[in-house]
Amino acid sequence: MSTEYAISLQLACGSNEAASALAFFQQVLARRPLFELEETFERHWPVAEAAFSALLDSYAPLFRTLEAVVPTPQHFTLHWQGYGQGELFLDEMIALTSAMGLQVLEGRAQGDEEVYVCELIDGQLDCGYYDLE
Amino acid sequence: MSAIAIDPINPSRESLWARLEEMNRFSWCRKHEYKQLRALFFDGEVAEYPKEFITDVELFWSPKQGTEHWQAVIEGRKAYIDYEGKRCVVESRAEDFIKKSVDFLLQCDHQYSGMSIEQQLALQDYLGLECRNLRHDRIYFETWLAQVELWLKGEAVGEVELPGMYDCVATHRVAFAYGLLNAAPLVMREGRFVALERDSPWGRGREKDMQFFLTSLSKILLKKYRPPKGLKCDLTPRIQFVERLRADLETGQAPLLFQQVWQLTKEKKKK
Repeated sequence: MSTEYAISLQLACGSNEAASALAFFQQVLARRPLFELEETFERHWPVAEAAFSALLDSYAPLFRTLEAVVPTPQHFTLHWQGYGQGELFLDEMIALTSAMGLQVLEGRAQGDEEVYVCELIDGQLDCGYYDLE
Repeated sequence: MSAIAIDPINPSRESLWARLEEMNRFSWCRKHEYKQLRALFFDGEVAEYPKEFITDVELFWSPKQGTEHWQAVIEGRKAYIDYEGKRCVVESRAEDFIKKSVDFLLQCDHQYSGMSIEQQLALQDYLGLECRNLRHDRIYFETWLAQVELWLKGEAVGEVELPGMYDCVATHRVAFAYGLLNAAPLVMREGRFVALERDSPWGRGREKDMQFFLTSLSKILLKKYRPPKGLKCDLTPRIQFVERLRADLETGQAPLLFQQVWQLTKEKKKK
């Protein structure tokens, strides 16, 4: 049985790609059809097209549960809430956003017993599980 | 309601596709899936071994219609590629495909995807009503009732069927619908429908719903019929259909259960 996850991914706003990425995730949030998302993705990030296609092959329902995009001047955070394999999805999203030229600051996938956290430490992402208190 | 103008007699495929797009009916589609649905809808093109999202609508969304085409589609559905990549042909797959298609045919007015009423009725004759899912007879009858009532009101069943059309497929399935109700294991006792078979799909509380739906239609038929305003088509088919149902009820042509509800509704109206 799959577990409900609260997943968040914080991305830096510093890169040239951040504005396009923000617009792209707003499209996801607006529940635009998957084929439209694929077309937008291909236009902006042709090198990561295969990674996006693979992500949709495995995690399209969870990807479409994106429920908030929260921008601040320094970063923006994506929030998902849905059923599936949250940690694996987060790993795929980290790989995808990195391939899009974005810098990942932090990722969290919280299930019913543990939270999987990826933090940027000394320029490297360090991922691990923590028990929920 | 959609802002796209749909011709109530001969809607163009472009307008129907635009309406489906506007309704976000393709939101689940990947790029290759959307392309395949478009190719089916506008050109009748289907890959040799299509996935289920295509076969589900293959007979209904294609501009290609007619017995030769249907025969070819059914033949095609017998074949599949197994896990070793070998082509297999299984006769029963065609039977399953026909059964599923008849079930869908009877649960929706397919004018929304460009299939005319004549084409729907021809497909129905070709596939055969005997191939329907007998466990769904109550659903078919309820669909018929809903299609009739909503068409008379200028509306349509669900989100996808077209409101305000000149004609409705249900007006051509009266004999079939009457047959379903005549065969239903229901009786009227002291003013209420009672199910004769406990585990029948017509029972388990559904008999009350059925009486409610028939009463609703009877109330419409009892009043002076006022066609809905704003329809962009000739209203004669609606007026004639109301007259036909009233005549069936008054002359005993309609199913007994429908006549009994009709009488009961009339008596209540007098009080």
